[in-house]
Amino acid sequence: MSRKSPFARLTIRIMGEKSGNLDLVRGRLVLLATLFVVFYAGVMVRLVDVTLIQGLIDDSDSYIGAPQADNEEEQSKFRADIVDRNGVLLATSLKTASLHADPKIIVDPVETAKGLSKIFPDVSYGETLKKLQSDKRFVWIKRNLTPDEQKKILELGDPGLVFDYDYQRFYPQGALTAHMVGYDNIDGKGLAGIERSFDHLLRQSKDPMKLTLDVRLQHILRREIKKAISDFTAKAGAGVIMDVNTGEILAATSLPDFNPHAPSADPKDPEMFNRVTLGVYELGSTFKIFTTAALLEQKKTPFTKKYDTSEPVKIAGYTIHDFHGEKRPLTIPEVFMVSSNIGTVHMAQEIGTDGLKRFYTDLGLMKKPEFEIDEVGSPIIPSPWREVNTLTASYGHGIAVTPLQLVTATSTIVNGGLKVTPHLVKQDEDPISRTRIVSKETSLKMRQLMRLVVSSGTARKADVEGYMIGGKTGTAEKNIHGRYSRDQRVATFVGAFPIDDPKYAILVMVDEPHPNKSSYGYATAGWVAVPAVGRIVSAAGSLLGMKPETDMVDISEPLKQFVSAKIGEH
Amino acid sequence: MRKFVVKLSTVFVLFLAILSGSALFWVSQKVQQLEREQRTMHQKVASEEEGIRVLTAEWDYLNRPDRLEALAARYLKTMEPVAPEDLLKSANAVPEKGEEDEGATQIVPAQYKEKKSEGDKTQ
Repeated sequence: MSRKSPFARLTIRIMGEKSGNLDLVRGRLVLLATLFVVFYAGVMVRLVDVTLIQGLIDDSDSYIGAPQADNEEEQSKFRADIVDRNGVLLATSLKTASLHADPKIIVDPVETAKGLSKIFPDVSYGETLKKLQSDKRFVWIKRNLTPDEQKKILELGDPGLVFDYDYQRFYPQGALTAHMVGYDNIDGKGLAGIERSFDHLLRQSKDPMKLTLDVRLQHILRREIKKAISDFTAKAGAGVIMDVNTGEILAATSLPDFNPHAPSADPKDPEMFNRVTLGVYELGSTFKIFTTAALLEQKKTPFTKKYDTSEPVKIAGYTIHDFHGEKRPLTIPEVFMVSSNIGTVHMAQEIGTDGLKRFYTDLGLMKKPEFEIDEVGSPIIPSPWREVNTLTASYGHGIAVTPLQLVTATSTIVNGGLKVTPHLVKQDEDPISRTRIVSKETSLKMRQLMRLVVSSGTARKADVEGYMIGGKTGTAEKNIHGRYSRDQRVATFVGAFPIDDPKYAILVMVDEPHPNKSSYGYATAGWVAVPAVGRIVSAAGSLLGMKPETDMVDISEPLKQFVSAKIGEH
Repeated sequence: MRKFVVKLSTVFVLFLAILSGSALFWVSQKVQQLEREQRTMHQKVASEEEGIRVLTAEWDYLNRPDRLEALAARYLKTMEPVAPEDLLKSANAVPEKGEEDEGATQIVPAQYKEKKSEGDKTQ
């Protein structure tokens, strides 16, 4: 083949063989070069990306002190706000910085410790220095800094000082609503009040939770009960203002109260005890409202019927006396007005044990009420219930209920007779009940009787011109270890205003008041609780948008014909 | 040598590849940049919201009823809490300007009147 055309053949052969090799080599070279070009282009692009584009944007969000991205732990400590009915904050979660240090990175422990002890008076120099010189990688310096303190620490400028951001609960109103709103612990767990009963919801929700309270009314109530407690050197007090139609609690205070930012560690401390919902008391003559209502409702007894109060009632070893004995037959308005135990006992005998128990049950006095916070006390009911218990329960002895139950039951009586359930959380629609407990007629009669107590009975000091108040006083001796004490009493007033068409029920209770000079040696409800009610209503009336009616006809006027002129002389 | 023929379509495809490559690069950069901006903005919004929360809490803290009451007692000496007797049922019961002399004695609290007359003297 090569001899025939050696050149051509050679060429072809060579061309053939070499071109194959050359192509292969050239192909490999091209491939390699392309790979390098692509690789370097990639590096170039990445360089531009990192240095120019990302480098320029990066420095906007890496300064010290910027809020760190939310991690799961922070999420779990956030709790939704709690607000009052007008949107005023009662509890809120704020992001606060806490300071810790990494002693390995601390540049100058001596100077830093000096600076820190200057910023925080309660942080000692010696201890901080010891902490900063230790071998640990993490030491706490101080939790929950104010923004001002944080700024000063940044000015110290030590890289070993590190901030930690977390939510902390803050109660702008302080002790004002402490018992109702409650408080939480350092881990963000609700331990009392709404904080406890709605713990789960508050953790999950972002929307504020609206309560029925009004901080302005709450303040007036707390101020006046505080004054009553200090005037009569009492042990404690409680008060409630309730909407009689919806059962919404506009104000509820239990004194002494506590600072929710620093609650007492001992739950048995007196200031940690919610006297409105958890405390049960024998509330005395205020129960005559329910006994009289039961009589009017079940027996339709006319006002003219007289009950003989001349002789004390003796039953099963007990003797029931009157505080101010009239010692003669009294009509129903007279029995109610002078608060005659004997007269009320006779009424209870007329009603009978079953009737009275049924009526008390209907009013929710016999069992633990349902309420939106967990601190709710169960009433103490005589067991077994004998006839004597019917008689004593008729005037509020031997049966102990919470003040919340008393004011709720009173609301039911005065609002026209519809069953009321107490509410602390605002609902979208007003919760109006349709369950009738007493007739409209009985409700009107009871309002007349309650007005009579204020216009000419034991609660005359609550007679505020313009806002007609009606109610009933009760002074009960406290049952201390099974014996009734003469000096330790609970003075209560429960009522409603304006009594001709009630909108609000009010309760004031003072625990263990002592007589003072201005009360002429008395420490009864008429001297202790009633003046406070007068002051509360006259201050709260304009806040509630109520016009004072000075020329109104007193609804107790028609009852005056049943009241003998002799009453009221003492 | 074989003629290296470049088809027009090849050039076009190559051009398209380069174009789409650089477009992809540009878009991805833009997206990253926007994402960063968005993150910064989110952070700013969150920090503003946190600021609003703090200020709202401070506002309600400063407007505590007991604090307002103490401040009013201290600085608004000419005004006092409204008693039910001070409230009039209708606006018609308020005296006209002309009958100021008679009406003023009933409505303006005593201290306020004294102050006013003092002011008149200094003028």
